[in-house]
Amino acid sequence: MPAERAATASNLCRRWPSGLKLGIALLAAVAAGLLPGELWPATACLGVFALLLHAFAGTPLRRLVRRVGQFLPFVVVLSFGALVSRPEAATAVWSAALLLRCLVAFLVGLWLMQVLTASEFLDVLTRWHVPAALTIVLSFMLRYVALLWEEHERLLRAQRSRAGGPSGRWAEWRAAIERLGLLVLRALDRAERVHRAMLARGWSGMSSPGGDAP
Amino acid sequence: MHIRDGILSPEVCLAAGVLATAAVGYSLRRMRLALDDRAVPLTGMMAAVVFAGQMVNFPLFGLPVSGHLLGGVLAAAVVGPWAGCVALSVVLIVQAVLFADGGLLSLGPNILNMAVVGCWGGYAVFATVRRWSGSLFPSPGASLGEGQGEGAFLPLQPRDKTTLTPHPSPTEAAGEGSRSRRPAVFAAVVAAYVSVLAAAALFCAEFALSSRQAPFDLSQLTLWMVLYHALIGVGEAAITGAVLSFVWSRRPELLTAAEPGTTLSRGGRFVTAGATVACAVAAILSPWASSWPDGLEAVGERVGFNELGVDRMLMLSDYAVPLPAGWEVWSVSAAGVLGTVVVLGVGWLLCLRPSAATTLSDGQHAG
Repeated sequence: MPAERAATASNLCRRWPSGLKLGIALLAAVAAGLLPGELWPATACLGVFALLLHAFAGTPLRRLVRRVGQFLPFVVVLSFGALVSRPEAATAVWSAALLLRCLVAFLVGLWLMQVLTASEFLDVLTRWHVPAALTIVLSFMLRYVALLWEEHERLLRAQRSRAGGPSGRWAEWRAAIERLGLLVLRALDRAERVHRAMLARGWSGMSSPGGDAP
Repeated sequence: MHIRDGILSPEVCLAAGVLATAAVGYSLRRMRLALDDRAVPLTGMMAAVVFAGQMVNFPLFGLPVSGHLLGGVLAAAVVGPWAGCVALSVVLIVQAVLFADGGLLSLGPNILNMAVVGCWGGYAVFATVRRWSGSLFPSPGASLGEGQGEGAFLPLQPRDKTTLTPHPSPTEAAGEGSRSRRPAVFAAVVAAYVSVLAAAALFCAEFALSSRQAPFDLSQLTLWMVLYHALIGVGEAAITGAVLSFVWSRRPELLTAAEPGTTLSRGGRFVTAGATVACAVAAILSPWASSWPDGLEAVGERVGFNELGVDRMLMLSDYAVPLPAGWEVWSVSAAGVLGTVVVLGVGWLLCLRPSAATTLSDGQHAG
């Protein structure tokens, strides 16, 4: 898979209903957004709640720190940009509140990623009456993204095996373009083959009442 | 480009979410009409390509970081604006919920900025520039005709209903490909760059609306956003152009079929392209417009007839929306966008009247 996901691991939160998990995450994100900067202790409490959720989910500390480290630069630049623009106490409070709010919301999102699987997410969407067209396309994408990524890895290995791979930035650029272009071509070819197979199995488009996923 | 939760206010997220939902709903409807039973494999596969493609890293020259494709214009150019918009939306939903990349609450603004502006706006700019740039890249022995202008880089439209891709002969496809490749790639490059800038401008507007009580100068943040995204736009434009050029050189038949019903109409394309570019320019550049008097005002100052005129306080006096002190830059920017939207609306209304009259007269003739 393009990115490792821990949702398959067994943990306490995995047994919770998937709708509840998505609802908790959404509510926490909304609450973090609605709390004014002056009420930063409340936002901090929300952060503690998010960390508690991570403890329930058994998120490895190393992964948590790594993901937060990847997330922080953009928000830090945004909040410190404001401070540089007008170095006043009010701006400092505003910047800190923004940083805290974003961090809490990110922690909640990260928790959701740990505890919600793709199939659970699709189930929730179906139960929440999201249009079938969207969920079918979504399931199709989730089905084939791993396959395409494997193809990408094969292309990468093939490129590297030829004279040790591209050397220099320009060569790397060209190699990346070639990989992406081939990925597009193979995906379109695969879409055609899959479409034919679906037709052979009686697929009649998204209007079919059963909503049979490919 | 992904907006995190907490950066925009819930009100702005809600409003953007409503707009994004409407746009995606409309795209779904148009996609199903256009692609019928092919909609699922084509859109799902394009979404998978964009998702995987966003993980292919491109080294940035002279910098210790790498960039990646955003994919709005690429998806729109390959499968059309409607399926492209749905594909990008699906990618953003999965990234937000299953990979914690982009906020849950900010899903609406993210879809609006990247999927709707990226695919609808990007495709409109792409199609308009492509048509206009046909004369810039004359091909030996053939000019870009009407059919070619409509057809190339248009989505996998089957000529018979049982297959996804058309199958012209290799010679035919190669001929058509070589004729329209350069204008199409050029248009894709321009569209990708403009779409990134338009998305950045939209984010700035959303951030300004979210931070009305912010105790700092938002214009500097906007300046940094624009500078940063001007660089990102170069990367996006280069990657989009190079990938489309690669696909075109290998398999031109995949990208050279026409079915006008699946694309924006010519008028719609022109209006959407104009609106995307105009909003990007108005939002970004209007705050830096010269404050020197224009020609008539300069003459009036010299001759002394300026005093004869009586200034009336209107809502948009001096090209500024009335906002609190310290918000001058944003008020000018908001007035720029508002003015652009109003002018487009008036233009659209004016265009409606004659067509209604024509329809009526046609009906009378028919009767």
